[in-house]
Amino acid sequence: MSQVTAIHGEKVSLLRVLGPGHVWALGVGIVLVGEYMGWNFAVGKGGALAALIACWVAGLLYTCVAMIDSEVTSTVAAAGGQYAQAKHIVGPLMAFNVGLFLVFAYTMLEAANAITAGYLVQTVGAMAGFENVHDKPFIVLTIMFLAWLNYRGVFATLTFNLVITAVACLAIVVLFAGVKPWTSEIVKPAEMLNGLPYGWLGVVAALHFGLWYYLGIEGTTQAAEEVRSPARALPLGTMTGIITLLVAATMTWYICSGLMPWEYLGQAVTPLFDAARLTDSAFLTVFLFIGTIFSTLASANGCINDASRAWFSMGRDRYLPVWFGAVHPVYRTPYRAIVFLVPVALIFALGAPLDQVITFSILSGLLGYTFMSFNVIMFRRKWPLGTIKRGYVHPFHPLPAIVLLLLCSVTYFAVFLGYGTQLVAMMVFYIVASLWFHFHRYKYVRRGDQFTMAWPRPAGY
Amino acid sequence: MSFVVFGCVVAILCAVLVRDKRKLWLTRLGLLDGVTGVVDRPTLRHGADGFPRLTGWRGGFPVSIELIPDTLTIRRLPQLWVSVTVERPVQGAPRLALLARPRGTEFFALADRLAYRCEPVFGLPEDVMIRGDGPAAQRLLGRLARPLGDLFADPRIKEVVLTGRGARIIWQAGEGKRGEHLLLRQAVFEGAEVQVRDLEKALDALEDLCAAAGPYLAQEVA
Repeated sequence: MSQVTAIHGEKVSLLRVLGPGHVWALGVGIVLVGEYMGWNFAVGKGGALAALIACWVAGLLYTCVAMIDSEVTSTVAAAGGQYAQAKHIVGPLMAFNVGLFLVFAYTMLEAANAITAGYLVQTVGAMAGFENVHDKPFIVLTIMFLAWLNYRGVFATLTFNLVITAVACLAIVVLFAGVKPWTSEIVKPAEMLNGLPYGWLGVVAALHFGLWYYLGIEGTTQAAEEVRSPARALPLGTMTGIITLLVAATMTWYICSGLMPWEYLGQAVTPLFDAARLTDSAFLTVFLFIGTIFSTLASANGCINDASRAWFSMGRDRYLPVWFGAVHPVYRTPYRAIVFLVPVALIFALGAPLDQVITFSILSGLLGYTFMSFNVIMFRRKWPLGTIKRGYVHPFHPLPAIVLLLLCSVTYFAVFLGYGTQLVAMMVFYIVASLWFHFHRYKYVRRGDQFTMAWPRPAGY
Repeated sequence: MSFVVFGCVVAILCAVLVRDKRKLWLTRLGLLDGVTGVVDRPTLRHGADGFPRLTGWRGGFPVSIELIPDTLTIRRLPQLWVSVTVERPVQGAPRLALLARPRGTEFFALADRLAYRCEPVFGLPEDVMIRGDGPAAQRLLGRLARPLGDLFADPRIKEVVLTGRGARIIWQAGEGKRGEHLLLRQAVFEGAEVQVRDLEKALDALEDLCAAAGPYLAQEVA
């Protein structure tokens, strides 16, 4: 962490870009919740081995995402992530869609977190003798409580944050140690694994939920500074997070697939918690309960924060009614955006099963990654190397973009295998939304305000 | 037994939260304590979020200094802005606002509410958006290009506004800690401060702007 890298002749201390605490945050932040729930649906689609293969292939997809995103992010100094990139490189319609991708990816993830928390409370309640505990009130409570925190702009401090995320991360490590994977006492992968029950088509199908391990990592590592030069972005942060998640994902997979038959694992809501229960250790059960709750609440909090900011930004840009661009006069939060998205999350959390809610989130993320592959090609074409200052230039262009596009295409097909209705519904939604924007909303957009970068005219214009 | 353990963990976390929150609150409340001497007859108030607002007088004109937390731009660290306003009337002045690095989410900025886009002038950074009431704002901008260029040479400056009621400057007082923001989207402005010399420099600059705009506008009328 004390290495120094030269970028455009400017020595950048990695410690300034990424301190040890930040690496910790990147590895165990919002995205860790993907280890606690959701990934195991990949097992249901193709078997345990297929899920592992999908995990690693998804890692390749996200490596391409990290490389591409780092170049564009380091150059588009305007904060706003892919949303700002779309405004500058493609145009308002694409930016509107990217904004929607962000909002729905995070809102569906929030709903998935709430479903998991509600289910967990119901399960633990039943274990404690309270047979009539229902999950739905706790789903509502989770979403409403976190929305209220975000409405009020409640601030917590480092100690509190670290305790929550340390417990969430430590729980996986402790579980791994607790099941003694170096023996066959508890974890019995040789007995549980059954090859590829659906053949290689199952591996393709499993890629659908393979993305869940990493979904959102490209966003959680982005936090631009206000006044610093953009020429500091490295993909190191995202890559560190991906590697951390890859290791955690493999550990998670090994524990769960060695403890539970794939038919059960493939539909479990809380695979890690179930694994802890199967060890018959009360300590591990409680620890994983705490870890799961903390992880889902931390993730849901971040989702509400990010989704509401994206909706707010679209309101301010007039892509949506400007009414959504209001700021609370006392708390200085995007309160209308926060409140508006609450019923959206509730409808999905209460009305759809976990795998479908996760699918909607994955599809929105996938559309964002598809956009990235076109985006970087357009970016290089409009502003070739040497025409503007880039903080990071990703190698082998356009190979990462092509690989990303190919993997995204395969993943769409993977989603179609078993979730074709959701795939079609999502596409129809975005098409209808785009038509609404084009025919109704675009006239309100201040076109001159969309482009704020001091770049030369694009090549060919 | 396990639930007792869980209950203890929650209780300890709550205690930690209350303790840290109290420490954070005290830090926040005192952010302008060291600069009250910059204005005459200072009055210090605090908002519901604990950030202070200082009002007073300077050179016979009302002055207000306010801290504004900004967590609204997605994929950007939280910002703590300090807004300094001098209510020195400038008769007949059009509204003119210069906003550096516009994102569209600057809820505190006047620039976003003005419709007329002014052409940039030499001496200002390229990423400054300039808006006004109309062509009169463009002419005023031309006249004030040099002092405005000097102001925006400081990369912390976010917005400079001149209207018939006075002038305002907004600059960055602090930036949220990256780790806390990445973990739980928290805004912790460690090390944020408002220094007396920055404040005095800003107040002098605002008074100079108002003073420079006055004779120019008189010439326009003549």
